Amino acid sequence: VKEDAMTRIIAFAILCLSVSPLSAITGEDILKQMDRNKSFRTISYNARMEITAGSTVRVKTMKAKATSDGKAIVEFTNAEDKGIKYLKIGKDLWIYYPEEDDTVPISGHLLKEGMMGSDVSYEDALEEDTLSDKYAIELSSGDASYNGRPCYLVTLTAKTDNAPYQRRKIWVDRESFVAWKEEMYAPSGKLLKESTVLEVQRFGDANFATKVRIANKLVENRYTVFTMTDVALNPAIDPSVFSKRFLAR
Amino acid sequence: MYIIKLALRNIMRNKRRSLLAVLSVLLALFLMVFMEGLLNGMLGSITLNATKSDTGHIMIVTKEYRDRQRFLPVDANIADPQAIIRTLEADPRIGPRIDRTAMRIRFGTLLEYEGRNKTALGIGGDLEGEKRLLMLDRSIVDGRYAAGAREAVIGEGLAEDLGVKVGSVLKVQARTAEGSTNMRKFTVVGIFRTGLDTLDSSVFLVSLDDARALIRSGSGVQQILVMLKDYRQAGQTAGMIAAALGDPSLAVVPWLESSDIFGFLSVAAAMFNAIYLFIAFLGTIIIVNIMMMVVLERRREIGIMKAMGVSRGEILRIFTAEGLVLGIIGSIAGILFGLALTAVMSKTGLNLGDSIKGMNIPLSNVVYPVLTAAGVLKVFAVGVLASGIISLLPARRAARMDAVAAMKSTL
Repeated sequence: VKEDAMTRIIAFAILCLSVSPLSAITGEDILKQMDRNKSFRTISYNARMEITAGSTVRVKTMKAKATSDGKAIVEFTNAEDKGIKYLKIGKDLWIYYPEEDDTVPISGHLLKEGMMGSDVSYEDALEEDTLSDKYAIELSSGDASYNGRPCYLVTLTAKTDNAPYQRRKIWVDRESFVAWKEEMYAPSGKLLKESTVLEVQRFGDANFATKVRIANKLVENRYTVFTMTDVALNPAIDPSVFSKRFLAR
Repeated sequence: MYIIKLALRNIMRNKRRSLLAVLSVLLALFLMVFMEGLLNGMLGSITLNATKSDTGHIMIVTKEYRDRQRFLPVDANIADPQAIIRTLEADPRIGPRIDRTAMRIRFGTLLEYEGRNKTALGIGGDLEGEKRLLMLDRSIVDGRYAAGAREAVIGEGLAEDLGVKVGSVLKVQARTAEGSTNMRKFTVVGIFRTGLDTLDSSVFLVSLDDARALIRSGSGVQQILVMLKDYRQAGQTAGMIAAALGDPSLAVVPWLESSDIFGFLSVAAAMFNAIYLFIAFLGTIIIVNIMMMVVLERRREIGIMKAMGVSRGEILRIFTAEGLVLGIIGSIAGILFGLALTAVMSKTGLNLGDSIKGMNIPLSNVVYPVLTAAGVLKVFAVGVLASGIISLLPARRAARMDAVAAMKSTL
């Protein structure tokens, strides 16, 4: 009788184990949940970028407007860069220089350069939220945590040549789906960059990262802290601001 | 002396065979002399171009710039370069050694013209002063040399890649000293062809003021280049300049230490010396063959000489001298032919054409061979030494022959 009961328990356990992967959350689900935190039609904010390189700290300030369909305009407001504007429409990017009253498209190798000397590359800024198109997604089975908060550890591996990084590891909060930490790796396996979320602001049921630190792991003590203030979700924005014609205004 | 006379007499016994040995050595030495001239010409071209376009005889930069030199940092500038130049020119020991000084800014940039873009190296310099240093005014193939603000002269290859012509307006983007990006528009007033791929395919020149405005460096510059009246005094003068300036934040670098290219040149020179030795041994190896045949032919003669009391050492010397004389005659003839060809080529130059295109070394595509007395003597010494060493083998065999067996020989 005992043996029979034991057999049933084992059979039940096997059944549970074999069924559980079907019902468990997947890496794709986690990325979708992360995107829900960014579900806005339009956004406007002011931002401050503190770029630290060794003992030198440079500060850039800007005001930005963006839409969920990949359009953004950023105008720098700090003294040195006053009036310089970035316009992003989908995967295209232009910079407007007020001194020359002219616009230059950003393309080619320059996309890998840091924006305004920061550790955020143009490529990072241009990236559309279609990670699953470029990366194979794998969810680690073990427990992960960040600063004591339980997290999912999602590993993205490039499956196309145009992926900016070969591998990315993202620590995603199990409750809020905030991507607290992300590591970005080169094809050689070398860690290139690490971004960490320092502050999160809650908008309705969405958690929005408003302060992020992006560290260049190839150079010691080189990082950028990007802080957003006066964040407004879904404000009315005149669509004409996302045009090259508007840049010169 | 009688050994030399004997050697000469023996050489004349079979003139055709001796001529073959002499010709072989001649060819080797001819090749070596020409290569020596070509190597000198190439090294001279690289050194001259690198010092003029890049390092000067002495380069003064901040130590911060020196540490990151290959990234062309625009944020590590000398704040008051004019004060430094004044100090150097007024110094009674340094001033008289200086031929000229130049302030430079070199910046990595992205050029854009009507939708096409290309990375390039921008050089900002005193346009008048650069006529005596970069000398791009002598290489203008279209338009004219830059004369003022917002004017640029651009390499021919770079212009072709961008589709730029004289009169085109280029958009030049660069990183600023504060870490931002900036853009400035320049009118292309001239296109240059120096024959130096590193310049023609990727460089454009603008005024120092324009470069300063683009990278927002204020009055600062990255480099002060010092050209000396005698470049061989660079090491000593660099030490004097460092002492006179007394600024620990500055690096005063003589040309031999300022670029990896000069380290490469010394390695190249050492490699060529090894190649000379190899060619010399290849050329003289025929002497072994011929002398071996001679030794075999003269076995009875060697036996008789030994029977008459000629010592092993003397036989060794006789046959070594014979090979050596062949080597000396061949070496002298080879050097004379080599000198003649080098003399012609030093006037016409050797056009390397597209073979050096894309190579990241400042080598002009027309090289003029140059020979020095020391270089010719070196080649001669290698030829004679190789002949002497190689002749020892058959001579040793002759010296070791048994007198009775040699005399019995029927050959």
